[in-house]
Amino acid sequence: MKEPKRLLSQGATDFERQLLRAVANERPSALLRSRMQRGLGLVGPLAWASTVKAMLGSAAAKVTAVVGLGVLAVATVATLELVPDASVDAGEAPARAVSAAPAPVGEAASAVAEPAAAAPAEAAPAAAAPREAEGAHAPGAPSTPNAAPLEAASAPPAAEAAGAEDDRRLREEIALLDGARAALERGDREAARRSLRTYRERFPEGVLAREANLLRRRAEPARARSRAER
Amino acid sequence: MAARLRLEGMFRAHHELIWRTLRRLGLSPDLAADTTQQAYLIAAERLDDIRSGSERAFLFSTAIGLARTNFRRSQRCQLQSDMDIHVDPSVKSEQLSTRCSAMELMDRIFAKTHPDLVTVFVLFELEGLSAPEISQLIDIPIGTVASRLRRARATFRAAARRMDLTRQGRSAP
Repeated sequence: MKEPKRLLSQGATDFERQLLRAVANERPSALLRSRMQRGLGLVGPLAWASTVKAMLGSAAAKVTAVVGLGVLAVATVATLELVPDASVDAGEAPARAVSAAPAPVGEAASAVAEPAAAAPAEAAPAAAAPREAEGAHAPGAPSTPNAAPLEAASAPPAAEAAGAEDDRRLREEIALLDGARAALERGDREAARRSLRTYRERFPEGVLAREANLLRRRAEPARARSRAER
Repeated sequence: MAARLRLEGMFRAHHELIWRTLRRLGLSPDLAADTTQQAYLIAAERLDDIRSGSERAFLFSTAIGLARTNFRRSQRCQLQSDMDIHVDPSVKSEQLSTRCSAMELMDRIFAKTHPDLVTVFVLFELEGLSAPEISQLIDIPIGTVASRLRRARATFRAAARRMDLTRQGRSAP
C-alpha cells in the first residue's frame, strides 16, 4: 500500500485543517493526569504493585489510603508540567518510531474493579497539606473557560491559571479530608463531621467526593450507621 | 523497582495517545482518563507477559476493549472544565473560540462515524502513525487499514464540507 499523505500536510481545506488541529491539540488536564498517576501509584516512593493489590482491598482501606496518599500527591501536583509542549502543532505530524507487535488482551476488562479509587493501602498519612487562601473560587464553577470567555483570555496564561486553580482546589480538598480522617482517628466524630460538612459545601462535586462519602459514613454515630446499613 | 520504572515509562510515552483516541471515540475527559488508567492497571498486572516493544499495542488494544464496555455516548462532552486546550503560541487569542467550536464539530462528526473508522482516522491523521504501524497496533491487515482510512476520510470530508457550507450560510448541494 502506498502511504497516502496526511490531510493536514496536503489536500485539506482550511476548514478541515482547522477541525483537525483543534482535536490534535487536546490533552488530559494536569488534574486528570495527576489522578491517573495517583491511581497507578506512580507518585512518590510507593510501589506500584501494592497499588494493584490495594485496588482490590476494602473500601475503608481505600479511604485511608487515598486520603493519605493525597498529601503525597500535593507535592507531585505542584511539580506537574501544567501546559506541556504548547508549541506542538498537528501540522507537524509526530514521528512515531516505535513499532509494536500486537499483544493478546483477553478478558482484560473484568480484571479491574474500581481503578479510579485505587491507591496503595499502606500509604502512610503525612503531615496535613497546607491550606491555602479560601474563597477565591465558587464551588462547582468551571475552572477552565469555555468558548465564550476564551475569546477574552490569552491562551497559555489561561491554561496555566486553570491548572493552578485545579492544584489549589485539590490541595484544599485533601487538607479537609485529612483533617476529617485525623479527627476520626482520635475519636472526635463531631470534628470530623464539621470538616466533612465544610468539604461538601465547598466541593459538592469534588475530585475526592467518593472518599468524603466513605469518611462521612465512618463519622456517623454508630446507631445511625446501623440504621443506614439495614 | 524495574517494573515500576517500566510502567512509568509506558505512562509517559503513551497515555496521551490513548486518552486522546478514547476522547475521539466519544468518551468524556473523565471517562477517558478512568479508562486509560484501567488499561495501565491491567498492564501493571501483566507486565511480565508484555514483550518489550509491545507495550503500546497492549495498552491501546486493552483501552479500546475497555472503551467498548465503558462507552457512554451520552457522556460525549462539549468543552468541559477538566480539559486543557493546548494552543500553538502563534495562535491569537481571538482564534481560540473558533478552535473550541471546531473541537465540538469534530466530536459531532466522529459521533456519527463507526468507531473502527474513527480509530484508524485518528491514528493516521492525528497521531501520525503509518499504515503498517496501525495494522500492527490494532491487529488488522494493511488493506483493511487503507479501506477504513478511505471511508473515514470520505465521511470526515463530506461532513466538514456540509458544516462549512452551513457555516457560510449556504445550503449543501
